[in-house]
Amino acid sequence: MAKFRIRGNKLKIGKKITKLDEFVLETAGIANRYADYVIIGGYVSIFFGRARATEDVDIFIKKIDFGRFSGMFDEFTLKNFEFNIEDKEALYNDYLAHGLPVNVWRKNLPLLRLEIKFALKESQKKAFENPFTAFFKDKKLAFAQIESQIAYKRYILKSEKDLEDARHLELVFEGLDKNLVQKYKKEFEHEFNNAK
Amino acid sequence: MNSTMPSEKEINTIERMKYVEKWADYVVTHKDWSKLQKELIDSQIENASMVKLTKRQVREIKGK
Repeated sequence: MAKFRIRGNKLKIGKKITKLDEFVLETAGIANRYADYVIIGGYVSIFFGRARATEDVDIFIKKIDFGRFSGMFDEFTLKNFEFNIEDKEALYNDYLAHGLPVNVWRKNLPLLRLEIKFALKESQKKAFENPFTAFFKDKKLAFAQIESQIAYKRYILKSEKDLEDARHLELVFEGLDKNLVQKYKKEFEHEFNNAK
Repeated sequence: MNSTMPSEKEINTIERMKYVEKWADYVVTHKDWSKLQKELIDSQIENASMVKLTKRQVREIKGK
């Protein structure tokens, strides 16, 4: 075994697919038919081996118009998922367009949630600048750059769980750019402080 | 009591981080990390799914 290494924005990983992975593959797969996405947050650490589960998986999607979101909403609904609000116009106008997340889960089983958010802020848009794709078995998922996730968790979120997630990523990946972590830190802090 | 002594919370935080580092080391040195992780995650999800929470209850728990 060895550490994970991203080469040319790609990474191959031999891993067993968990029930959580299955949920992400299905929901991110639907979202991806309507918008580019990247996975952020705790699931990044979990996918790469952290010994914990989570109830919510966070993704950014690039901003799409209402028509495309309507298609996404309808496909989720058709495939037996439900959103936190049933009115898709309200989801789009009152949530997504304002930078707020919408949540989707298997109908009548709100155990695992996909939290979808438009990448509207500059720091969020950057998640799409250099994402990488993890290939496993015949499947794939797109993730935000690991350095950005370490910086956000360690310097912005800073909860015990987030600090542990950041440390885990730091230890299981090789070839991480420490300067890039610091660059993200400055950008996140700048945006965070300006938003106060 | 010596004020320089770490609190129980601080000790707990340090111990938890040591565990995280040990597990991360296991992930990069053992092939079965994924099998073990799958057992852990799947069993947590299976257990949690036995408690059938409503949409409203989830919202209340999450404060959303």
